[in-house]
Amino acid sequence: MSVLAIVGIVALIASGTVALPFQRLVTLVGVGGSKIEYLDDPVVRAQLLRHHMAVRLTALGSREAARVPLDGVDFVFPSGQPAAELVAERRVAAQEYSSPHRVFVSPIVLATYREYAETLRAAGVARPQANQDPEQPYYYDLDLAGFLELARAGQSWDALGIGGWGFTNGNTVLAQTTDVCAANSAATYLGLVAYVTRGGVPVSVQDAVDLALQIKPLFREQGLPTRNPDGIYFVPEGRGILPIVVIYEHQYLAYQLQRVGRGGEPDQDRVLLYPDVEFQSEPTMVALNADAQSLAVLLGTDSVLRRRALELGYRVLDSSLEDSSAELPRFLAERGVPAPAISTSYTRGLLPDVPMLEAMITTVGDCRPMP
Amino acid sequence: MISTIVRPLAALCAALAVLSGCTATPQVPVTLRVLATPELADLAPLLPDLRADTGVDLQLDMDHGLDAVGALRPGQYRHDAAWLSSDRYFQLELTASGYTGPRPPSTSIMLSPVVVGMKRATAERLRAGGPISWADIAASAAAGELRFGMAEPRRSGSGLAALVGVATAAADTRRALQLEDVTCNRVRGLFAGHTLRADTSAALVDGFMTRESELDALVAPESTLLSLNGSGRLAEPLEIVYPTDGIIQSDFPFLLLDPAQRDAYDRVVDWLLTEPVQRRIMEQTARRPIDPNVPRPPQLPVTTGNALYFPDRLEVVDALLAEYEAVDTPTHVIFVLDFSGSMRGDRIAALRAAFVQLSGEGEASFVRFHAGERITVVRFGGEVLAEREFAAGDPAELAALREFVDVDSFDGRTAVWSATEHAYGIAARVLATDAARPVSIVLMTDGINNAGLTADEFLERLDVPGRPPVPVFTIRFGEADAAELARVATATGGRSVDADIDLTSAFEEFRGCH
Repeated sequence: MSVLAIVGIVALIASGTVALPFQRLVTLVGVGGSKIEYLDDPVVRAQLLRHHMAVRLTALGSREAARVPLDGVDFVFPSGQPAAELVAERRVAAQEYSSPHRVFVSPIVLATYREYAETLRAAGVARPQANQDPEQPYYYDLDLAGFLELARAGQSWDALGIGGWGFTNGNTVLAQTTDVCAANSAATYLGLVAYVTRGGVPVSVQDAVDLALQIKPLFREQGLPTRNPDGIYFVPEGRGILPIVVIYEHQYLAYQLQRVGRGGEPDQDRVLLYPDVEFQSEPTMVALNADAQSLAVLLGTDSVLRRRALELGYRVLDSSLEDSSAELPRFLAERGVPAPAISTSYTRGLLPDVPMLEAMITTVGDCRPMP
Repeated sequence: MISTIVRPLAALCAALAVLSGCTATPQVPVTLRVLATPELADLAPLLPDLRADTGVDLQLDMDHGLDAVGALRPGQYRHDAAWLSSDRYFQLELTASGYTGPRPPSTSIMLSPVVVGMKRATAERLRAGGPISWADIAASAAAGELRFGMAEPRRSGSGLAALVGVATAAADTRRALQLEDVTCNRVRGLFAGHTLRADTSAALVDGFMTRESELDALVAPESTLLSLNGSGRLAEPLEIVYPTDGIIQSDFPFLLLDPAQRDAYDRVVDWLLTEPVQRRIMEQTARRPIDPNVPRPPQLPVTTGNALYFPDRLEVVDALLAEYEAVDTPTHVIFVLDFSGSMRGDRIAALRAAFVQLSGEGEASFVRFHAGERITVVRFGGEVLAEREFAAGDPAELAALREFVDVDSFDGRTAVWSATEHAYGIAARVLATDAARPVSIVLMTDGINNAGLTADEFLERLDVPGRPPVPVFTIRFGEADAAELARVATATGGRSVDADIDLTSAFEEFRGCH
């Protein structure tokens, strides 16, 4: 990374953008979940250099990132709130500096293919979002409780009538996820599944464990979790490998924006299901020192960086940094990419607090508890 | 969920367009020692270009010859990086080892499903009943009509993927295999046709070419089969069959083992994921690019069937391997069938339907007699009415077996235990000529014992010295004395079930699970 950073600096000097060597270049070391890839984007790197910043990054699962030794690390960038809280708690316990900053948000969605969504629609658990062409919707609302009921009953796609669309699939109807022990997206989906199963958040750690034991088969039947869900979902063979997979909305939007940007049409085969308990994941930069805090502030305020976040499909925050702004649908319309129905207010109370979520994660995944 | 940051170099160059000759960026030369699957031998032509473009000399160590179990042991790393056809077994071992740190970064580079290459005549025969499934292949192999080659699951990632795939399809639970699904080996019939074994895909291909005339199919990565077809070394190209009940994909992850080599690792991954290199991999090796934007040629159809879920517990895979490797001596099953008058009607119809299925006349299924097995059928009423032995590998004998149970000759009385005692005599004769052959007795009755030996008298004889330890499995219809049947089954080491469960499954369990 550092080699490339230097190349970048040379490039910027050559273009006269940066008045080096009169200003110090700060290189920050970051560890994070998959959303840390935003900082590795070439446009983001170039813009950070204009602010005399470079980053060296390691991507892990968010929950893994929350437990790595933090010597020599300037910031942790988990993909969601729970892991960010774990990091903050660690720092508080050690009486060390930490400052969490939300950067942008993106809902957890179930990415699938048109015939799978239509099969669910025929089964009465999915329906096109209100703003969609009912003949060719890109976005559906999913009755998550109804969907989970199909899995609990051991229904296969074949039994549900996927054959009517010219496909066969004898596997049970379930959404595949990343490793719940490691990744934020899987942990968040677990939280949503728990919420609809319980009809609310658990009230105690014991309640959370009991609930997790009920839910465990829904996660275990998929077998070994997927390591690279968005990578596999978007390959042409993806339909046969991951017919329904839990990803972030921005990954889908970035894919569609890239297609259109290359002069193509939006992909009509790939569609999204929005669980009716919509939950926005909040990638959070936990700055461990003042330099990292400057970076975090920059991410929320710099117009180039905010623009780039939109191009990568994120819902950027409004000026209060509290709620997602209406910029994303406007931007998608500008680019000719269909936009999902976006409510600007959303619930944050769907996930239980961290100790209860941790209890559910370790129960469902048989994973090691946090130290 | 572990991946390192991926920075497509092309995009980076575009962003830094002010630099002239972005591709000529000087890089610090590094050597990366990579524990590699022998499957990657076909990537050798790319390595000089990788070195020229990135400064990384990628040394692929393939001498160990392993690609599955034992290739990469958690914590025991003697290489800077690893590149296997799949790291699923390693990931399961890592979990089972109690390791809690971050997992080694792992990036999928390319895909290839493990599928079946078939001679055209074989494919046409199997396709008669619709698109080909693993169940069709297993039924044909069990009948002795299909001989195939497949790499050893313990040595080869494609062999392991194939074993997990067929076992999952055979279990037919629509989910990832659980431990309880592995205890009954439903794939034994399939492996009756496994006549060519090898440790690697390359050795498998060599073996197939040597014995092409006597083999019908090859279970291997799609890329291996396409390359073999393209080589012109076969008398006739193999048809690529994507079994409808599912396949397992290999995703060729590249793993970083020594964190100090992170920079070189990133450079290699970046390079491998650039569009031109992805295209070259596809053209050179017939594997599928992980880059969605590289268009696939017609020989790489987008529809490859559905991926089956891979087990998420090491013990499941280990149990499956152990079951696969268990010495598989074909069994001899003695069916003792009640032909008293009360069996007329639905009961005898259900019995006959089960024999139609087991002898391979019904819908293709994993459940059937397979080549090498021997079957004796005893019909009884107040005494033994008839008995005959059949070889399961011979279609004519299987037809005769169906005729034998089709006979409409019923008796008024029911001598359950004398008939079973008679079966012990048959078992003793079988064991006298082949002491290693597993023998079991399956007793089916709907009646109360009203002639010959009593159950107690029968049980007393179990203690006679020299009596062979043969388990009796009992299937109860209607009025038969459930407690008595269970008592005898337990005493002999067998089990008892009611015929209201699926009769075919009951036979299958008795055959495979004792």
